Amino acid sequence: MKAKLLLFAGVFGLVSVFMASCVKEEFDMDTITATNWDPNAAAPLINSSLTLWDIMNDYDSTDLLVVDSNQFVYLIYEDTVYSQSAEELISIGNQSLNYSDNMVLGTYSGDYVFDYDYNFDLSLGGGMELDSMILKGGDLAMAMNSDLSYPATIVMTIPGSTLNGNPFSVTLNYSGSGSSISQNLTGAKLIFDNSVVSNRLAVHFKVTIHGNGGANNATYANFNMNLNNLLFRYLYGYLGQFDLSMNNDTIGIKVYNNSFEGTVNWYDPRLYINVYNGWGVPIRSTVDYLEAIRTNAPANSVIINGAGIPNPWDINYPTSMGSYATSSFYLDKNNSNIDAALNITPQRILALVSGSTNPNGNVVKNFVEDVSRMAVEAKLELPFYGTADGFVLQDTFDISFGEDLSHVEWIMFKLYTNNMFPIDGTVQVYFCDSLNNRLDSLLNPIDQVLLSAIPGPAPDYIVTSPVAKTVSQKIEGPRIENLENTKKIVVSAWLDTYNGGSQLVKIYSYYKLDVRLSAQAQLSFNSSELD
Amino acid sequence: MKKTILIILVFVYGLTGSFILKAQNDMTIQGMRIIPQSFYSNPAFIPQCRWHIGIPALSSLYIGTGHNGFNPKNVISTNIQDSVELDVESMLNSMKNHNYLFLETNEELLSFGFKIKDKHYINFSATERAFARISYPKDLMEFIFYGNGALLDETLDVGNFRISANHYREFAFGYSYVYDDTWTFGARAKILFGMMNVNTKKTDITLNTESEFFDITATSDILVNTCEIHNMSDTSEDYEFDFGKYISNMKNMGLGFDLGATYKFNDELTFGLSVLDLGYISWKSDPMNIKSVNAGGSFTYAGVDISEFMSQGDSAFLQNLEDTLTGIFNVDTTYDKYKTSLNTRIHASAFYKVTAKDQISALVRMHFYDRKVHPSFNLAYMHKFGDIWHVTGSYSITNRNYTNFGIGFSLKLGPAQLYVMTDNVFAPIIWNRYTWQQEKEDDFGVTYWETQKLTLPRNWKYMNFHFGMNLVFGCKPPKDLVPILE
Repeated sequence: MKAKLLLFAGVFGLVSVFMASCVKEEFDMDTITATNWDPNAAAPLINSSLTLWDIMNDYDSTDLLVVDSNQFVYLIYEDTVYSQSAEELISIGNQSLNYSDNMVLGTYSGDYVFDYDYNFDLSLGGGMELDSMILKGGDLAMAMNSDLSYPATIVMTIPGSTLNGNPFSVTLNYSGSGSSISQNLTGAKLIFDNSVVSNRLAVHFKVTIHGNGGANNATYANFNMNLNNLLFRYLYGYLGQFDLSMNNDTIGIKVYNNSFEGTVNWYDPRLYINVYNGWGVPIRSTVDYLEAIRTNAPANSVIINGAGIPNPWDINYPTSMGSYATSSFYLDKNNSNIDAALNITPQRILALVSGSTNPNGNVVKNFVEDVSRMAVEAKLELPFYGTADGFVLQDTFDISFGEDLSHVEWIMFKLYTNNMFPIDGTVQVYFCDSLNNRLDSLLNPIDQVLLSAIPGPAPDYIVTSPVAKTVSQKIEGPRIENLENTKKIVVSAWLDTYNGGSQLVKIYSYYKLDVRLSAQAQLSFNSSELD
Repeated sequence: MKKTILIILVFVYGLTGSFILKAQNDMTIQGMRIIPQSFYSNPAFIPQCRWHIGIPALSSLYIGTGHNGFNPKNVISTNIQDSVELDVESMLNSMKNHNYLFLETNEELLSFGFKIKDKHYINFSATERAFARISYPKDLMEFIFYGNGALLDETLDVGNFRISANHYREFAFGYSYVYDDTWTFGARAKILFGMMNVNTKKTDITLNTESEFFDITATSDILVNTCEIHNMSDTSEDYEFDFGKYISNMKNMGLGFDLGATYKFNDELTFGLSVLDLGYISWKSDPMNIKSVNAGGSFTYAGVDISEFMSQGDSAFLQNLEDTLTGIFNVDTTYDKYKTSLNTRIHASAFYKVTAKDQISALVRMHFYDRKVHPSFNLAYMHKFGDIWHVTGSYSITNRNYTNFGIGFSLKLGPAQLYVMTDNVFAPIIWNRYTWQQEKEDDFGVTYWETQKLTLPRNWKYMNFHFGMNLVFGCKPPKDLVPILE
């Protein structure tokens, strides 16, 4: 009995351990249902410490911001509203000379010389009366028509003038009627005799006839001379009276490109008009008008006027070739309405300026170089000192949150700001479809995301402590569908300077706005969706 | 999700099935002094038989495996619609911070032992030992399933995958001495020759998402040592793995010791204490070390700096970010020798002789690794059916599992002894099978669906099997000797 019990126990143990294994349950993993995976993801999106340069970067080039020794910031827009070279202003037309004289009949043996003197009066516009002209280009074409049967040599000279440093002389070998020669005038210096007639060149022809003992039956000699394509390098003398068209140029104020509402009161804006004159010519200018123009709706414009605008305005001119003289005036709130003009948040300032040369006639000797210029530059200087009230900036961006957000139960955005700028800001992000129809907004209800830092006392108004604010917003339920259809977002910011825009503030270069944007999303996946 | 679960199942259990591990023996054997190999759990345990010679290669084969993380039966179930449901919450709740897979095999090549004048016992064994222990962090699973947003302000130990894999040959010389009627002392000295090793000394990768701005901070500190893995994984065409060279590698020497003592309180009650596997192996052949260039380096992602992004452009910005991350988390490879410790255990045991044929024993085992103590408990009852059959039933608590019922017996027919035992008899009996369709592509590029199967023990927290055959002589105790336990 005991042996049987032992045997049974042993066999049972063996069978239990080694033989009795079986598959109890089978699972078809392809039928998994109702198993949710609900991860929650959180991540920081933006972490920036923004200076005024960073903020303005989206609106303008950072090099337009300048800082003075007190770290006070200026926004400066500069533009050249007029610039013209002397070569563009003055052109010398083609000039022509025809002179005819009789020949003496006879029989010549050997050389026989005739001399002829003529006056070549150049026709120049605007009452111009040149003393001299140095050319950088041009051609002289000279021809002789005659019934002279001998060969001859004609030497044309212009007393006092030079060609490449030598006395001006051009030689034509006559072999028959119509004989001609062309001479490049680059480097020629022409000296005019204005004692009788303006712009006169004294021309001398020396004709040497090489006689062969035959009869000379010639009766006439006709000299034809043309100055073509003249390009001056220098002009000296009286350049006459020209009108200068300096109109219809503008200064763009890009900081207002995205502004739509509200006012910005710049406490001390300045508009500088600077003229840089490289022409040795007196110029009288007239500022016909300056106009601040707002193109964004509602469109508006303000004519800038005031005692600060000199009319007429005599422009200084240099006293030596190669230098320039500067003339300038500026407008501020004390001599103009520039502050009021800028209150309409204009996108540009139109400057219409005209002028003329030698307003008092031929009383001053002039000089110009072909490349010397006169330029008018306008500079709008906006010190960040003033107030803003209800100033609205708005911009639009293309964006897509994805076409299927069915796995998103909610998204929470958390925005933290630590603001050293004395500016209150309310920001809203609108979710729009491709046709800019607003589908939803991020902050519902809208909230102030920027709390103004408190400025210190006048006159510096320096902020010492930043002010922090955290705003969070959860988007869930049907609002998630709005995100699916979003193709664009419109970011609008309503900005007021401290205390509702009622107190003057100044912006310094060390002011910063710390921005941190974080997002947290609750996702939900069903197992059948995860194959 | 489905695939994620399957991947985890395959990782946890498929890997378990392909490795062998855990440097410890079954707990049921310790009270069965008729089996000479019980000496290995305490070198002061002098076996009952005066002589034994192990049948070469058959004297002791131990295979053990376990997993103290989740159990598939608690995760996967079928609902009334006959659809499969996954209970991720249950899976995560059943995990601890660090979860281990254990795999081990010990194959005794040769052994013998004999007593001298009943006071001395000498033993020799040569054993091929291989084990692997892989840990995976609960934090990573929670990170995957819950997301970092649900674990704010918690430092997640997501990188703590640790692998300790070892293959070595052990030559052990044991000696026991009966000091007096109450005390017996024993020791084993071991010369070890390592074949292969993977040891992740540090794989500390942490992730923290703070709650205010959700800044994400990651840290990295990695040191992984390997020996012979480089050669084994060489895939170059001109390289061919030389198994003979691998198995006869004598370059990685080590030493180990087992120390033990027993105290006989009275005729019924005896206590035992042993420290096993104190020692090390020095790995010198083909070592490779993968370690962090910037150990302990951390990186915090706090969001994009818009001004930096705008000034650098997106490509330059991303390149800078990549360079920063590379600088912090880059790893370097060196080829320096290193040492690893053996898996030291302490066994504290008590034996109570109920009758001449019945014995109750208890064992507390403390296993030391990863700078922690991992305890196990075993309670066993043994009955002797003469000198032919010794049968033991046991209950164990180990691997965070409380349903381990073991059985073991020894059958002695003349000098031939056969023994078989396991600490968890039910584990290999009940299995679950998981099937799914997987898209494949044939040689002509045509896709088709193939049924994949994975058959796993329904409850595989702890499972082992120990088998052996010896020739034993002189197993009847002399009448004038009162053995410690018999």
